[in-house]
Amino acid sequence: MTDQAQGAAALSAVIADAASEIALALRGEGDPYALSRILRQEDALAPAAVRVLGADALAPYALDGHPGADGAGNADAAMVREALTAFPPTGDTSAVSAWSYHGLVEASRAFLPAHTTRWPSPPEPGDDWLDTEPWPRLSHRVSQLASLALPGLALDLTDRLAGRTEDLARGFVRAVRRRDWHQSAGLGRWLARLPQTPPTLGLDSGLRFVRQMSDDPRVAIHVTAAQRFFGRGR
Amino acid sequence: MPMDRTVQPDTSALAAEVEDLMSAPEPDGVFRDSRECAGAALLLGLLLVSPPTPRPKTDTK
Repeated sequence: MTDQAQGAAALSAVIADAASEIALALRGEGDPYALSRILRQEDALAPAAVRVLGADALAPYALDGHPGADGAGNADAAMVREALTAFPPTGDTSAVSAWSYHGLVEASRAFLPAHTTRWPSPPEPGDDWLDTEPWPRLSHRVSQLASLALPGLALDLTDRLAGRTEDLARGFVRAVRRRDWHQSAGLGRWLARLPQTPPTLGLDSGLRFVRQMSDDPRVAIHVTAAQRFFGRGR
Repeated sequence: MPMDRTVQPDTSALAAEVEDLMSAPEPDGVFRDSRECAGAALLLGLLLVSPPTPRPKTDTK
Protein backbone atom coordinates (compact mmCIF):
# COMPACT_ATOMS: atom_id res chain seq x y z
CA MET A 1 0.00 0.00 0.00
CA THR A 2 1.44 3.43 -0.90
CA ASP A 3 1.97 6.06 1.78
CA GLN A 4 -0.86 8.13 0.31
CA ALA A 5 -3.29 5.21 0.33
CA GLN A 6 -2.22 4.27 3.85
CA GLY A 7 -2.76 7.86 4.97
CA ALA A 8 -6.22 7.99 3.39
CA ALA A 9 -7.17 4.67 5.00
CA ALA A 10 -5.95 5.89 8.40
CA LEU A 11 -7.97 9.10 8.11
CA SER A 12 -11.07 7.17 7.04
CA ALA A 13 -10.64 4.90 10.07
CA VAL A 14 -10.39 7.87 12.45
CA ILE A 15 -13.50 9.42 10.89
CA ALA A 16 -15.42 6.14 11.12
CA ASP A 17 -14.50 5.70 14.80
CA ALA A 18 -15.58 9.23 15.62
CA ALA A 19 -18.78 8.88 13.60
CA SER A 20 -19.69 5.70 15.53
CA GLU A 21 -19.35 7.58 18.81
CA ILE A 22 -21.40 10.52 17.50
CA ALA A 23 -24.19 8.20 16.34
CA LEU A 24 -24.12 6.51 19.74
CA ALA A 25 -24.36 9.86 21.51
CA LEU A 26 -27.25 10.93 19.25
CA ARG A 27 -29.11 7.78 20.29
CA GLY A 28 -28.55 8.82 23.90
CA GLU A 29 -26.23 5.93 24.64
CA GLY A 30 -22.69 5.80 25.93
CA ASP A 31 -20.82 8.33 28.03
CA PRO A 32 -21.73 12.04 27.96
CA TYR A 33 -20.50 13.34 24.64
CA ALA A 34 -17.38 15.40 24.19
CA LEU A 35 -15.45 15.73 20.95
CA SER A 36 -12.18 15.74 22.85
CA ARG A 37 -13.17 12.40 24.36
CA ILE A 38 -13.72 10.61 21.05
CA LEU A 39 -10.68 12.06 19.27
CA ARG A 40 -7.25 12.21 20.84
CA GLN A 41 -5.89 15.74 20.77
CA GLU A 42 -2.37 14.51 20.10
CA ASP A 43 -3.57 12.53 17.08
CA ALA A 44 -2.28 14.38 14.02
CA LEU A 45 -5.33 13.22 12.05
CA ALA A 46 -7.88 14.57 14.53
CA PRO A 47 -8.20 18.08 12.98
CA ALA A 48 -8.68 16.54 9.53
CA ALA A 49 -11.37 14.23 10.90
CA VAL A 50 -13.19 17.16 12.52
CA ARG A 51 -13.02 19.11 9.25
CA VAL A 52 -14.49 16.18 7.27
CA LEU A 53 -17.24 15.54 9.82
CA GLY A 54 -18.09 19.24 9.82
CA ALA A 55 -20.98 20.34 12.03
CA ASP A 56 -21.71 16.69 12.87
CA ALA A 57 -18.66 16.77 15.14
CA LEU A 58 -20.81 18.91 17.46
CA ALA A 59 -24.21 17.37 16.62
CA PRO A 60 -24.80 15.75 20.05
CA TYR A 61 -24.64 19.26 21.58
CA ALA A 62 -27.85 20.06 19.70
CA LEU A 63 -29.84 17.46 21.63
CA ASP A 64 -32.40 18.77 24.08
CA GLY A 65 -31.18 18.33 27.61
CA HIS A 66 -27.61 17.63 26.58
CA PRO A 67 -25.81 17.41 29.88
CA GLY A 68 -23.02 19.67 28.69
CA ALA A 69 -19.48 18.91 27.92
CA ASP A 70 -18.62 17.98 31.49
CA GLY A 71 -15.76 20.42 31.55
CA ALA A 72 -14.61 19.39 28.09
CA GLY A 73 -16.02 22.41 26.27
CA ASN A 74 -12.74 24.30 26.19
CA ALA A 75 -10.92 21.28 24.81
CA ASP A 76 -13.67 20.75 22.22
CA ALA A 77 -13.52 24.39 21.17
CA ALA A 78 -9.74 24.12 20.83
CA MET A 79 -10.07 21.04 18.63
CA VAL A 80 -12.60 22.69 16.34
CA ARG A 81 -10.50 25.82 16.13
CA GLU A 82 -7.46 23.76 15.18
CA ALA A 83 -9.44 22.05 12.41
CA LEU A 84 -10.71 25.38 11.10
CA THR A 85 -7.22 26.86 11.14
CA ALA A 86 -5.53 23.85 9.53
CA PHE A 87 -8.00 23.41 6.67
CA PRO A 88 -9.43 26.77 5.66
CA PRO A 89 -11.21 27.17 2.32
CA THR A 90 -8.87 28.24 -0.46
CA GLY A 91 -9.35 29.27 -4.06
CA ASP A 92 -9.42 25.60 -5.11
CA THR A 93 -11.90 24.55 -2.45
CA SER A 94 -15.09 22.94 -3.72
CA ALA A 95 -18.48 24.44 -2.94
CA VAL A 96 -19.26 21.50 -0.63
CA SER A 97 -16.07 22.08 1.34
CA ALA A 98 -16.76 25.82 1.64
CA TRP A 99 -20.32 25.17 2.86
CA SER A 100 -19.09 22.54 5.29
CA TYR A 101 -16.51 24.96 6.73
CA HIS A 102 -19.19 27.59 7.10
CA GLY A 103 -21.44 25.04 8.83
CA LEU A 104 -18.72 24.06 11.30
CA VAL A 105 -18.17 27.71 12.24
CA GLU A 106 -21.91 28.21 12.64
CA ALA A 107 -22.23 25.06 14.77
CA SER A 108 -19.35 26.17 16.99
CA ARG A 109 -20.99 29.53 17.64
CA ALA A 110 -24.36 27.90 18.31
CA PHE A 111 -23.33 24.89 20.39
CA LEU A 112 -20.23 26.14 22.20
CA PRO A 113 -21.43 29.65 23.11
CA ALA A 114 -19.72 29.67 26.48
CA HIS A 115 -16.31 29.23 24.95
CA THR A 116 -15.25 32.59 23.76
CA THR A 117 -12.86 31.39 21.15
CA ARG A 118 -12.68 33.87 18.34
CA TRP A 119 -14.17 31.86 15.52
CA PRO A 120 -13.12 32.76 11.99
CA SER A 121 -15.55 34.67 9.80
CA PRO A 122 -15.57 32.77 6.53
CA PRO A 123 -16.89 34.38 3.35
CA GLU A 124 -20.38 33.38 2.31
CA PRO A 125 -20.09 30.26 0.16
CA GLY A 126 -21.38 30.35 -3.40
CA ASP A 127 -25.02 29.37 -3.80
CA ASP A 128 -25.77 29.72 -7.53
CA TRP A 129 -25.80 25.95 -7.93
CA LEU A 130 -28.80 25.65 -5.63
CA ASP A 131 -31.02 26.98 -8.40
CA THR A 132 -29.20 25.81 -11.47
CA GLU A 133 -27.97 22.25 -10.85
CA PRO A 134 -30.06 19.48 -12.39
CA TRP A 135 -31.72 17.28 -9.79
CA PRO A 136 -29.27 14.32 -9.80
CA ARG A 137 -26.24 16.56 -9.26
CA LEU A 138 -28.09 18.75 -6.79
CA SER A 139 -29.03 15.66 -4.81
CA HIS A 140 -25.46 14.42 -4.71
CA ARG A 141 -24.12 17.76 -3.49
CA VAL A 142 -26.86 18.31 -0.95
CA SER A 143 -26.30 14.84 0.50
CA GLN A 144 -22.66 15.80 1.08
CA LEU A 145 -23.89 18.73 3.15
CA ALA A 146 -26.12 16.64 5.41
CA SER A 147 -24.14 17.70 8.49
CA LEU A 148 -25.73 21.14 8.13
CA ALA A 149 -29.20 19.67 8.70
CA LEU A 150 -29.16 20.40 12.41
CA PRO A 151 -31.66 22.42 14.46
CA GLY A 152 -30.99 26.16 14.13
CA LEU A 153 -28.23 25.76 11.56
CA ALA A 154 -28.09 26.79 7.89
CA LEU A 155 -31.54 28.35 7.90
CA ASP A 156 -31.01 30.21 4.62
CA LEU A 157 -29.82 27.05 2.92
CA THR A 158 -32.87 25.19 4.24
CA ASP A 159 -35.19 27.86 2.82
CA ARG A 160 -33.51 27.61 -0.57
CA LEU A 161 -33.68 23.82 -0.56
CA ALA A 162 -37.36 23.91 0.38
CA GLY A 163 -38.00 25.22 -3.12
CA ARG A 164 -36.44 22.06 -4.55
CA THR A 165 -38.01 19.51 -2.25
CA GLU A 166 -39.44 17.54 -5.15
CA ASP A 167 -36.04 17.29 -6.82
CA LEU A 168 -34.46 16.07 -3.58
CA ALA A 169 -37.25 13.52 -3.17
CA ARG A 170 -36.49 12.21 -6.65
CA GLY A 171 -32.82 12.13 -5.71
CA PHE A 172 -33.62 10.12 -2.56
CA VAL A 173 -35.47 7.48 -4.56
CA ARG A 174 -32.71 7.38 -7.15
CA ALA A 175 -30.02 6.99 -4.49
CA VAL A 176 -31.90 4.14 -2.77
CA ARG A 177 -32.35 2.36 -6.10
CA ARG A 178 -28.63 2.75 -6.80
CA ARG A 179 -27.89 1.40 -3.31
CA ASP A 180 -25.89 4.56 -2.58
CA TRP A 181 -26.60 4.47 1.13
CA HIS A 182 -24.50 7.48 2.02
CA GLN A 183 -26.34 9.70 -0.44
CA SER A 184 -29.72 8.18 0.52
CA ALA A 185 -29.15 8.86 4.20
CA GLY A 186 -27.90 12.41 3.62
CA LEU A 187 -30.86 13.30 1.44
CA GLY A 188 -33.24 11.57 3.84
CA ARG A 189 -31.90 13.73 6.65
CA TRP A 190 -32.52 16.90 4.65
CA LEU A 191 -35.97 15.73 3.59
CA ALA A 192 -36.77 15.03 7.24
CA ARG A 193 -36.03 18.68 7.94
CA LEU A 194 -37.87 20.21 4.97
CA PRO A 195 -41.48 21.11 5.67
CA GLN A 196 -43.11 20.04 2.42
CA THR A 197 -41.66 16.58 1.86
CA PRO A 198 -44.40 14.62 0.09
CA PRO A 199 -46.00 11.95 2.32
CA THR A 200 -46.15 9.64 -0.70
CA LEU A 201 -42.33 9.44 -0.67
CA GLY A 202 -42.33 6.94 2.21
CA LEU A 203 -39.45 8.73 3.91
CA ASP A 204 -39.87 6.98 7.25
CA SER A 205 -39.71 3.47 5.88
CA GLY A 206 -37.03 4.57 3.40
CA LEU A 207 -34.78 5.81 6.20
CA ARG A 208 -35.33 2.62 8.20
CA PHE A 209 -34.44 0.57 5.12
CA VAL A 210 -31.26 2.54 4.51
CA ARG A 211 -30.22 2.13 8.15
CA GLN A 212 -30.77 -1.60 7.91
CA MET A 213 -28.83 -1.95 4.67
CA SER A 214 -25.73 0.00 5.67
CA ASP A 215 -23.27 -0.41 8.50
CA ASP A 216 -21.47 2.86 7.64
CA PRO A 217 -21.29 4.96 10.83
CA ARG A 218 -21.85 8.18 8.88
CA VAL A 219 -25.06 6.72 7.51
CA ALA A 220 -25.98 5.95 11.12
CA ILE A 221 -25.39 9.63 12.05
CA HIS A 222 -27.70 10.85 9.27
CA VAL A 223 -30.51 8.43 10.05
CA THR A 224 -30.25 9.00 13.79
CA ALA A 225 -30.20 12.78 13.31
CA ALA A 226 -33.36 12.52 11.18
CA GLN A 227 -34.97 10.53 13.99
CA ARG A 228 -33.85 12.59 16.95
CA PHE A 229 -34.06 16.11 15.55
CA PHE A 230 -36.88 15.87 13.04
CA GLY A 231 -38.89 12.85 14.20
CA ARG A 232 -38.63 10.89 10.92
CA GLY A 233 -37.55 7.33 10.22
CA ARG A 234 -38.48 5.94 13.63
CA MET B 1 3.73 -1.46 9.93
CA PRO B 2 1.27 0.66 11.95
CA MET B 3 1.44 4.43 11.43
CA ASP B 4 2.64 6.70 14.21
CA ARG B 5 -0.31 9.05 14.38
CA THR B 6 1.42 11.59 16.59
CA VAL B 7 3.83 12.46 13.77
CA GLN B 8 2.68 15.48 11.76
CA PRO B 9 1.71 14.25 8.30
CA ASP B 10 2.37 16.15 5.09
CA THR B 11 -0.10 19.03 5.37
CA SER B 12 -0.79 19.50 1.68
CA ALA B 13 -1.40 15.76 1.18
CA LEU B 14 -3.71 15.72 4.17
CA ALA B 15 -5.58 18.78 2.88
CA ALA B 16 -6.06 17.01 -0.45
CA GLU B 17 -7.40 13.92 1.35
CA VAL B 18 -9.80 16.06 3.34
CA GLU B 19 -11.02 17.71 0.14
CA ASP B 20 -11.40 14.33 -1.58
CA LEU B 21 -13.41 12.90 1.29
CA MET B 22 -15.74 15.89 1.43
CA SER B 23 -16.32 16.30 -2.29
CA ALA B 24 -16.08 12.73 -3.53
CA PRO B 25 -17.65 12.28 -6.96
CA GLU B 26 -20.74 10.17 -7.21
CA PRO B 27 -19.94 6.48 -7.71
CA ASP B 28 -20.40 5.31 -11.27
CA GLY B 29 -23.65 3.64 -11.95
CA VAL B 30 -26.28 3.34 -14.59
CA PHE B 31 -29.60 4.87 -13.77
CA ARG B 32 -32.54 4.66 -16.10
CA ASP B 33 -35.45 6.97 -15.69
CA SER B 34 -38.62 4.88 -15.18
CA ARG B 35 -40.67 7.13 -17.41
CA GLU B 36 -38.16 6.88 -20.24
CA CYS B 37 -38.07 3.09 -19.84
CA ALA B 38 -41.87 2.93 -19.87
CA GLY B 39 -41.95 5.07 -23.01
CA ALA B 40 -39.40 2.87 -24.74
CA ALA B 41 -41.29 -0.30 -23.75
CA LEU B 42 -44.57 1.16 -25.03
CA LEU B 43 -42.98 2.11 -28.35
CA LEU B 44 -41.48 -1.37 -28.73
CA GLY B 45 -44.83 -2.96 -27.90
CA LEU B 46 -46.67 -0.79 -30.43
CA LEU B 47 -44.14 -1.71 -33.09
CA LEU B 48 -44.53 -5.43 -32.34
CA VAL B 49 -48.33 -5.48 -32.37
CA SER B 50 -48.78 -3.10 -35.28
CA PRO B 51 -50.12 -4.68 -38.50
CA PRO B 52 -47.72 -4.98 -41.40
CA THR B 53 -47.40 -2.07 -43.72
CA PRO B 54 -49.97 -2.42 -46.52
CA ARG B 55 -48.29 -3.02 -49.83
CA PRO B 56 -49.75 -3.27 -53.31
CA LYS B 57 -50.32 -6.80 -54.55
CA THR B 58 -47.75 -7.83 -57.08
CA ASP B 59 -49.32 -11.09 -58.41
CA THR B 60 -52.22 -9.92 -60.59
CA LYS B 61 -54.41 -12.73 -62.00
